[in-house]
Amino acid sequence: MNAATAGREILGNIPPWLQAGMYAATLGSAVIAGLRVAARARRWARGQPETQQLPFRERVRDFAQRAVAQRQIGSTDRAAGIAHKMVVSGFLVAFLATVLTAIDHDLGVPLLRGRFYLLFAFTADFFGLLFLAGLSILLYRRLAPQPGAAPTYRRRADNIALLALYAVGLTGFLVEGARIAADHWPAHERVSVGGWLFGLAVAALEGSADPRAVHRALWAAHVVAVAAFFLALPFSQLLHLLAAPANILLRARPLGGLRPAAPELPPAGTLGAFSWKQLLDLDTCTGCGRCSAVCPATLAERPLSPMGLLQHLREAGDGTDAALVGTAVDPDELWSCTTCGACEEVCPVAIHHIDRIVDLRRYLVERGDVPAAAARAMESLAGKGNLWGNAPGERGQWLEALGVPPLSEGEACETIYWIGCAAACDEQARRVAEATLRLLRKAGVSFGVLGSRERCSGDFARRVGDEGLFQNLAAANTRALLSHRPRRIVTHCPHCLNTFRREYELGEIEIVHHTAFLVQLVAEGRLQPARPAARVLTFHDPCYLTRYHGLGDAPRALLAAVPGCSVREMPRSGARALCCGGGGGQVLVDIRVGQRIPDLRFEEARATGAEGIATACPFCKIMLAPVPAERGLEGRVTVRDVAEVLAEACL
Amino acid sequence: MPEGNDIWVVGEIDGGKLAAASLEALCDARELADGPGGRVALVAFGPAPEGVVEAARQYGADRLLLARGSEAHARSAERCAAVLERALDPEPPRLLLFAATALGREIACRLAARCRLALASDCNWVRFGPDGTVEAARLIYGGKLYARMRLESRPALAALHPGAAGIGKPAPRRAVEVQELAPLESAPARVESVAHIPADPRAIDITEAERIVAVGRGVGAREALELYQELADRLGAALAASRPVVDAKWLPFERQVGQTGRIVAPRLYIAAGISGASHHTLGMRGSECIVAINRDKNAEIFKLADLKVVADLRELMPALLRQLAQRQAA
Repeated sequence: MNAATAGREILGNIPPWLQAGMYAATLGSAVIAGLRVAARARRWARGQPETQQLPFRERVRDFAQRAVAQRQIGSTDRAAGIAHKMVVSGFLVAFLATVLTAIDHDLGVPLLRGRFYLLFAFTADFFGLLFLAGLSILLYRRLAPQPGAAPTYRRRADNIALLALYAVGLTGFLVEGARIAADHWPAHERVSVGGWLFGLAVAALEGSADPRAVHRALWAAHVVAVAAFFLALPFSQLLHLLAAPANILLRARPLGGLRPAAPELPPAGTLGAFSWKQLLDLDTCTGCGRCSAVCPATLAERPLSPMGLLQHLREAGDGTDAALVGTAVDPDELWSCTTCGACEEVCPVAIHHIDRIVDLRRYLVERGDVPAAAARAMESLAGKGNLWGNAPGERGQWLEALGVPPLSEGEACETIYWIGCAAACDEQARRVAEATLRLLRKAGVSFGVLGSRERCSGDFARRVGDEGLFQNLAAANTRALLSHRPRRIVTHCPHCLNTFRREYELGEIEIVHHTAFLVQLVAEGRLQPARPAARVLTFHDPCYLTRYHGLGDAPRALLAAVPGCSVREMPRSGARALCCGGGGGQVLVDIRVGQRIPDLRFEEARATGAEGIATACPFCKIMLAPVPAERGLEGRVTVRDVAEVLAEACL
Repeated sequence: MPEGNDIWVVGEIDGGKLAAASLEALCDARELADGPGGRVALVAFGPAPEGVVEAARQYGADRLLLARGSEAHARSAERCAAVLERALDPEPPRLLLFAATALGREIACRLAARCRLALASDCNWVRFGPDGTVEAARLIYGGKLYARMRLESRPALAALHPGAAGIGKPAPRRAVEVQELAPLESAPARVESVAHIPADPRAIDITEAERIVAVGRGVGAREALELYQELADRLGAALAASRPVVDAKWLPFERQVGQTGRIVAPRLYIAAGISGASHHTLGMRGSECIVAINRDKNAEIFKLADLKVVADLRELMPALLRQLAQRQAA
């Protein structure tokens, strides 16, 4: 083999009329595809403006994770992840190879010669084989669905697109094999591993046929396949080749983030009220079903499937002012969402699911069309500042009875312990606050509480869709908090934490979860968990703590600090934990279809064999704590906050 | 116009007896009248059985003003108001006190409108102010504020919220002077009460029930529900449940008490085997009298209960039913 003379004649054996046909077919189909993509892009551009945008750095990091490393695709389904990576890398290399060939042939730059040609031919073939193998796996999986696989949403165009893609790869190798055979097996072409192998097959099959004619026919078939691919792209899930990278790079909000409500928008509940990013989301969705596979509502057989919601909205057409709720979307779907963010965490293409659910809930709230329990809770919030309708004064009385007098208005205080309305009204949650208060005092922390001037942070109101109510609560709380000029606010409620961090304007004030604060106190030796508590616990990650804010380490560190206490993790834990069912207003709203989500989560916890469940959110505790008694396991399985476990070991 | 300090209590008769809310008003009136030294009159409509006369004697009435008529006529607020209007003329009292029941409210409103008198409805208390005018207070804005009112008409009208005043101890009997008012039949009425049909506690919406027996998962098994239905029947109560019982499909959703179910406030709420999660207590904490039965002496429900029973329901229920059966037979 002489490396120096290696190379090939591009478009050799192809008569000019066929060459002209190739240019017409590929350029023609590409133009049609381009026009269609442009039409879609114009539709996105008609969306409402986005006032939010994640910092550039975070978007690049997100792109590296979702698009380059493709961590989300394989994380729930390894085979699919590997196959997808094979296809993407093969596709990109083939694309590059085509560009190089075009530069060489059409621009007349001699590139594909000698050693570089050998490298080029080998690389292109190697990745081409990966491409074909990956597609074979995907095709097989589509033809023979795996048991337990994510529910997918496929249009006919999606299947045509996959076949077109497959045909591009297959005919590509066949045409290469036929060329090598027609060229009488030049020795240097052994580096074209795929082409050589396919060439042997072509040679065996063509028999006495003219190898040059066979090559021409296969070449024409390849051109047809490429044109079909171009045409299928904008009409099928293949659109995500273009839309997904853009969607990831243009990500507007962090996980679970909501759009600010703007009164000047067109009537909510229509596609016209969606932002351009939300419209782009719809076209980016490939219907892969990863969101629905992890959605607690879907798992509990409630009427919500996040993937189905997106697809139905996409199919609602181009009409911008048709009402969506009642046609494309059922109210019960919207009321099933716990806003746990599992869908957004797992989505490979960075779609915002939750913001649009809340947008549509806002529409229902505007119309007064909300479940009775939500209406009652909002009335309590408006009148009494808490979800349960307890008298506002009770908050202060309860704290004073514990010997924790609330701060007087305007009194300076460096560290504020925010109790939250759950602890003020619900006994399960109150024990969390009591344990935390005891620990803070034991450690000699100087802190203050707001007592009766605290109202609900507004997390419930905002996620149920009552933006006005949220704004009122936020304004009152912000005023009350800022009057004490605090440096930090400690809270045991991840929902309050999320709301303070992202949805309030509290300036430089540090918002700390009680577990993070307590970890520090333990590290400084101000709290000494000395009393052994030989217990095997499992830790249930609150969605708003671990998935939303990545703060799942502190509670685990606290449990590890308790002598004799060990943690046995559930299969779904950390950022992939299953929701307790209490978020997004679900703690009080129950559409009563399907199973109860806390029952599912309790089963998972039970299966670890742990003696108790530790968590770090009052709402998780409210949801999970009654389950043992309901199943006759009273006293056998405990549900406690990490602070309660720590308090037992420290006091 | 004579400057008397008399108080009239407009009574409501229920099952041959003076209704509890009217009895409360009568006791309150006695206390009020004792200050300035006024007399108390009980106004009764209808057949006026002996029980009413006896109650008037025991609870401090000096006079019984009786407007005779049929039971159906006595349920006509139009007739009662018209008769009252006529009775006011010769010697109007300082204050007319009603019980804020459905009928009491209606009579008070009609009378206030007919005679252009001041009316304080659904009051928590009524008293004479330092200058002798009538003052009253009631909750406003969903229970967040008290409004204190001064009623400047004479007589002044006030309806007391049932349960607000409480029934005092029977006083030494007084001699009650019975005085007949115009018969109810003589008053015009556009609406006649045709029949009075007691509700079937098994069928009514639990939010309408006066008494409720509510069961939780603590009652054990579905079969045990029969015992609780029997208890409910014997007490004239409706059967209700907490969420887990409804989730287990032992009872239909319409019977669920709690945040996602019905919000109830009956006179009597018996919570059997209910631990008292905030989800549930939010739906029943407005009940007047709460009896909680639970094995766990630390159960949250006990924090709300007026009567706490720490017991095993499997032992308690048969005994309770036996006792009830014996008493009802007697």
